[in-house]
Amino acid sequence: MYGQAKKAYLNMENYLKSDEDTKPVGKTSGLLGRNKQQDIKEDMQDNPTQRMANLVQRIRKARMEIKNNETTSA
Amino acid sequence: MKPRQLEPSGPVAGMGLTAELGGRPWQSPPKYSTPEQALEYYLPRLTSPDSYDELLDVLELGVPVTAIADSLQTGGVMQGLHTVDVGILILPVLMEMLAYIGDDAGIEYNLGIDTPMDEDKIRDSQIALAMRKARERIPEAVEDAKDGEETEPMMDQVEDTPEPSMAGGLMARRQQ
Repeated sequence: MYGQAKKAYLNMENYLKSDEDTKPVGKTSGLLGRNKQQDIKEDMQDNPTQRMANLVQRIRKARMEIKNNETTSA
Repeated sequence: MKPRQLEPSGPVAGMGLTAELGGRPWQSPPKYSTPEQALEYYLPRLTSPDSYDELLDVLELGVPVTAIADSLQTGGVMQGLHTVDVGILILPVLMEMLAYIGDDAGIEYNLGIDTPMDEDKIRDSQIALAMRKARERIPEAVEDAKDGEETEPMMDQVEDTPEPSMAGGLMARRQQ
C-alpha cells in the first residue's frame, strides 16, 4: 500500500549512489561560448531531485552523528 | 439478467461530476509550488511539541516510516497544499526526518523498506476475490465442476465417450 514512499526512498538511494556521469541532467543549455561542465553543474544545482538529495544527505549526516555518539557513550 | 453489483472499493459512476471543476482543493493551484516551500510547511509540524510525542508513540508502535510519510504527503495533496509531484519529491526527506526524530529519541522504529516488494506475488485476498467473481459469472460451470470432483467417473462412461479427433488442429470445431 505504501510502496510509493518506499520506491521514492529507494530511488533517492540509487540517486545518491550514482556518480556525476550517470546522474540525469534536467535540461541542456547548449555550448554557446560556455564550458559544458559548468553548464551541467549549474543544471544539477537547479535540479529538484539534487536539491532534495542534498537535504537527505544533511539529515543523514546528523543521524549518523547521533548514532556515533550513542556507540561511543555506551 | 442479474443486476451488476457495485464494487465497494471503486468510485461510483459519475462521482467525478458531483462537484464543480476546481471545487476540490487538489483541483486548484497548490499553495506551495516548490519542494522547499512544502518542506517548510511539514518539518516544523513534525517537530512541534503537540505532535512530537504522538509521533514517537506511533513510531514505537511499529508503524513503518514509509506509511507515516506517505500519509502526510497524501494529506497535503488532498488539502491542496502541494502537487503530487512535489509530494513524491519530498517523500525521502520526510522519511529521513522521521528517522532522525526516532534516532534522536533513541527508539526502535521500522523504516519500512526492508520488506521485499514482490510485484508478481498475488495476495490471497485477490485470489479469493477473483474466485468469487468467477463463481458469480459462471455458477453452473462451477457446480458441474464440483459434481465432477465429488463423484468418481464410471469406467463404462469413460470408455463410451469417443475421443475428439485432433486432425483439424487446435482451433478446429469439435465433431459431435
